Amino acid sequence: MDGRLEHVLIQPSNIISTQAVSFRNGNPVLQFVIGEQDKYLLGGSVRLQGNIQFLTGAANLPPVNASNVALDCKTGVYGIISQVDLFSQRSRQNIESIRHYNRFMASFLPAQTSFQTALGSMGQTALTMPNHEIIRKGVVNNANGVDAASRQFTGSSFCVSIPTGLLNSQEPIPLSSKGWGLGGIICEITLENDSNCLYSTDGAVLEDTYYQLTNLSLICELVTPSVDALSSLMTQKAGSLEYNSISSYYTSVNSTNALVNFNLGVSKALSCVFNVISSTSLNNTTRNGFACLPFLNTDGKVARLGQIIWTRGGVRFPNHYNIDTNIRNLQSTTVYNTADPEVARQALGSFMPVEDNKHTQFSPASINREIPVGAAIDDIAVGGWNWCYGQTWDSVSNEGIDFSSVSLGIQMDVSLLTDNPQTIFLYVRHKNTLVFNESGLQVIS
Amino acid sequence: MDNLIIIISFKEINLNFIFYNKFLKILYFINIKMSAQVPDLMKIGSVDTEMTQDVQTIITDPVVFNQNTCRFTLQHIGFWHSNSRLSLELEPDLVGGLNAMGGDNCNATYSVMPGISSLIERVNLSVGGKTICEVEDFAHFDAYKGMFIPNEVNKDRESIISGKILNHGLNMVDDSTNLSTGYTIDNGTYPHTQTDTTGAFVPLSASNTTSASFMEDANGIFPNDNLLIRNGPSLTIAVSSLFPFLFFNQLPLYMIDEEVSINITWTPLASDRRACIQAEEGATQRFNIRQNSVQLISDYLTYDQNIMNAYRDANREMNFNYVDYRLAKRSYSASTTGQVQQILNVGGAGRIVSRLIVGLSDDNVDAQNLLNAFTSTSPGVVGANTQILTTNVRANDEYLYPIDRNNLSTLFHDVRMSEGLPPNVSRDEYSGEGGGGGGGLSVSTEADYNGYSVGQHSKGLRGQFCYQGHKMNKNERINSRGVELETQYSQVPALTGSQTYTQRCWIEVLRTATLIDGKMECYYA
Repeated sequence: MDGRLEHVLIQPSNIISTQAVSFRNGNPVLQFVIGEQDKYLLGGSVRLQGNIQFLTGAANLPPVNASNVALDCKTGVYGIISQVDLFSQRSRQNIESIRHYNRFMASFLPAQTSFQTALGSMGQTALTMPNHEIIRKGVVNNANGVDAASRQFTGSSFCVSIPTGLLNSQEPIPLSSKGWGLGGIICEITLENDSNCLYSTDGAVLEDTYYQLTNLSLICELVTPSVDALSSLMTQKAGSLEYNSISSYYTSVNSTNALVNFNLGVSKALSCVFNVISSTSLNNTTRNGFACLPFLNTDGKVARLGQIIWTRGGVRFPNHYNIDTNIRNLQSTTVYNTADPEVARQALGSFMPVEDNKHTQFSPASINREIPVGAAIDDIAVGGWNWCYGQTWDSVSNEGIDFSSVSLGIQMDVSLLTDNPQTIFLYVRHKNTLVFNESGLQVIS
Repeated sequence: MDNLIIIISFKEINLNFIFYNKFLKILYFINIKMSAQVPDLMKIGSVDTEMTQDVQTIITDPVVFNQNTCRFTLQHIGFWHSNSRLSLELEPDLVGGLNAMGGDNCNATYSVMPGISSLIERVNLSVGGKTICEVEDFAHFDAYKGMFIPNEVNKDRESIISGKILNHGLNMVDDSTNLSTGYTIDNGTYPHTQTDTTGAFVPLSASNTTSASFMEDANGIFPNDNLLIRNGPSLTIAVSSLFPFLFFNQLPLYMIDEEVSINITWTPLASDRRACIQAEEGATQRFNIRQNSVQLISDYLTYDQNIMNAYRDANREMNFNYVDYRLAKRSYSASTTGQVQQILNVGGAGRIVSRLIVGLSDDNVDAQNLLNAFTSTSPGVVGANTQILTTNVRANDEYLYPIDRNNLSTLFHDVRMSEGLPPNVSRDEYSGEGGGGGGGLSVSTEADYNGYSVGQHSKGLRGQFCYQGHKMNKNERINSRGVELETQYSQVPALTGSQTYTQRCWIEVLRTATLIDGKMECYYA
């Protein structure tokens, strides 16, 4: 594209004068307005930057090393983002909305990054760390800024991209309101509540513990079209963008024959992935709300998945057979901890083709049926557990499968013998087409 | 003749540069094109066959060598492959008893980053006496570039080839709790065995499958044998690392009539910069570069003579653009650096500048550490408070960033955007944030490397990779005022008395080379 780039820094439009933002103190939503203008936004350059500090006790001080406050090590600062919404500034129409964003990242990040990347570059920008103890001491307990003298900022700095379909589309996003653009973008980030993103290492309830954000801003790059290009664009009264988006769904199961159905309402579905957690572990500081675990019984032992069937409109699809796992035909007393390779491969392949994935933290150490029973259930040495289940529908034509009028079904044979509801977070990757003109825009899923 | 016609037609669509891959594509296209034609089988003559590529590897000794400088002259054969390598080796000083285990400096090794490149101070590629590409303070430059090599590659490949070993592993406290004291260098010397709580070896069992335990040595981790100078390891550097433009171009040496030479200035023998020495040993020893080890292992690519001739005939006049780096540096003392904004004019007037690479290194460190002086220090820590670096770039009377950058993670992000790759260093290594106390690089003795705590700032890795990168995204020619770099550290570690730091800034400038009838000229674009 012919044009001139410029860096832009955007302050949030809805925070209080102290510039300190926290869910607990009544600021659950951050709003950034990338105003309507005759320019393009480079979606891949958008970053949320700021500082995050964890505070506890009546004195509102960072936890000390002997404390029990912990943060999910897989997601780091992404753990505080509950939902991302993108709107058109001019028409206020919703362009994209991803709920349970942090739980998606809890599977997405380990699937796409290596141990070294999680410790290295992602550790600096997103505060991830593939060990729960190092992130506890280095991020949660970071006492930076406690001393008033020589204080420059408080807590830990971060600078993260916001992976969404529109922003990752690789296409410059037109911001104009004159027919050839979306009329500006409003980016709303809903923060996660403290009791879901913080947890204790010893199973105790955390009192008066919360996170606080400061110095928040959104940085990005804009492209100003050249005079010739702009004059050509001015004659353009409509346009369209195609991008892959993520839709999220939520349900729970509590049965040995777990049947779930979702009306996806999308016509170009590419793949889906879901992760599971005991419902009692959500919004509960005694447990890590972003743990990606297998199905668990009340006693904390693994409810073994013997079979999984994916259906479309009640018919097996895309596999025309049942996937029997490697423990289905074993006696229930047999100890066999190795995860089923086909289930793991399909889950990994739902993010990108397995053969293209060169860096991942999915491994026998992090997908393993030997789950310790206890409070520190997600505290394994190499990051957290990475259990998830997925299916790819279309990796050939990349045009997607129509689920607009038929439902997605997942049938699972699980030894969930006790009353322990399991929450399923399902994420569907699908193609969207965004059509816009002078009077507004429309998202065609 | 058919070949010639097709190549000329490619030239007409402006593919007249030397990209190797492009060239291969052209040849591939030629084959496709020919196979699509119906051959004239009645005509007597040779039938076109598949293209063949010959690779000759020629090991060249320097035409000039001493402990200060070295020069190689290239042969005029085919295309010079960019993965040709320069081989180097330090000579163990027998006077100091280096060959004896336990002798002085028996554990002397290369810097963790940039490895063997620490021997090179300046490198220059000239054609007919005209400098085509030159990198000053090459060891510092390569320490920056080395950050973009994935850690796994450092461990598996670069530790053997170039001596770069930056790769991380957890330092575990207790397998049963999966607690870690932080992370340290993982050079593959950890025995990855399962141990019980007493440290005794046990077979892999159901109760032990979740632990990533390391059987640790109480004295820490030691360099691999192939990196101990007393063992005389011969390491190599790719010519594309010496001359970054060779990542994208290959020189058609057979088309150049002038002498093509590589001129290398070694890191001074009298300095502490050639190697890193173990803590308890003296830092006074110096290492000569072994003359016999200094060789250029060149790969020359040649094709069918008709193709080579046709390519030369079709490209009697050839232009190609490439980037070169120009260094500006300035020393800061205690009285000038602390909490004072520094404005450094880094040049670039009248040029097209596409990128800036900036680092601040401590001039006063000796050889007794892990990185020598090839570092870029992060702002210090005062008490519990991490300090900041505020920076911006001014060019053509405009600032690059609307508001000065002072978020350390954003500076890291800017490096990533400028290079298109993430630096593969950790948070503690880049900014020093959250480190200490087990929240970053380990300070446990078991995690030491070569006798030094990796979690230290002065001797180890903490806060030693805080380079800044700025992509000049305006795509404009710089005016006569040049590019100005503004930096302000709120605190620089251990900068007292007569100590100095040196700020280096390489600007990436666009240049154009022309090759006309075997004579090469180059100028700034």
